[in-house]
Amino acid sequence: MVSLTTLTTLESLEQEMAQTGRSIEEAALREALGALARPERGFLTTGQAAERLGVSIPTIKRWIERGTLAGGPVGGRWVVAQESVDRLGRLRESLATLDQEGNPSPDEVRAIYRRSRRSA
Amino acid sequence: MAIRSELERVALDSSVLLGSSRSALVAAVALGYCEGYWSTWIVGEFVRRRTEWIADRAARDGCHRAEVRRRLRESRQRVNALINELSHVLQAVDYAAVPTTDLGWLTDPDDWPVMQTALAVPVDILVTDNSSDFPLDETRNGILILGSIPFLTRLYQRWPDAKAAIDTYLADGPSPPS
Repeated sequence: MVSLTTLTTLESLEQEMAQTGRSIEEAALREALGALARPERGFLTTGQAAERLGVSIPTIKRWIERGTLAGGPVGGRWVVAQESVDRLGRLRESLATLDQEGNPSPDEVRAIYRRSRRSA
Repeated sequence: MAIRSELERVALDSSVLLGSSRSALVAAVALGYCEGYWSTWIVGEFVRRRTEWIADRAARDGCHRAEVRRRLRESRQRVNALINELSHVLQAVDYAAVPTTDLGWLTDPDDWPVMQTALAVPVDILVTDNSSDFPLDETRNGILILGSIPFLTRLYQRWPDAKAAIDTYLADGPSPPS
């Protein structure tokens, strides 16, 4: 698994090579970035992340900017760490599962705590 | 972009994890609109009270003992799965290290660990729907105590995009790969 830090470091190096006119190194680093920022390496495009979470691409970008999802622009395109997408998906799934089972109403919650006070 | 220091720190009591505001509150933390805290005491309370509620509901439904056991077993699996995911979102604190000397206003010592959890951070807000024991809308020990709905209303005012983001997140979407 490749970390997001590795990708951003490679991108910084690529920009450095471009600024110093080292086009061969720049091209090699761009190629490496393209090969690493892929689902099998633990990264998704914003479109893939949006599809998995059932939200729009702008929403994915906003969540990256907020720090909700790990990711950012790398090599001219946005990538998202798959683990952060999966974690958000799993959390939603487990919340929905418990909601489907049912929840005590606000009155029931109040009664549960009143009852425990009386029995204390 | 929200800076971490701008985020309010909130402790979530078992009563709000028990009720129907749970998903919105957890989503608010998961999506980065506030920092959420809990403790082993709160986890234990949540599991115990949820289990009691499931058993009461089964009894009200006139279930036989085997059906009650089945409901309890399945519910416990769902609760355990949620707790596992929540442990990545809510930060656990050591409530027992906080002295209880200033908690005399809480008449039931069983409520002290909730306030100790809040003080261990310390948080800005304790979110609780236990209106029997906690004075809602008041500040105690430097911590504002709010019910779940007033807290969410305040959060939506503070972050105007929060409600839409939370609703979008909680709306049905494709399941992630297992």
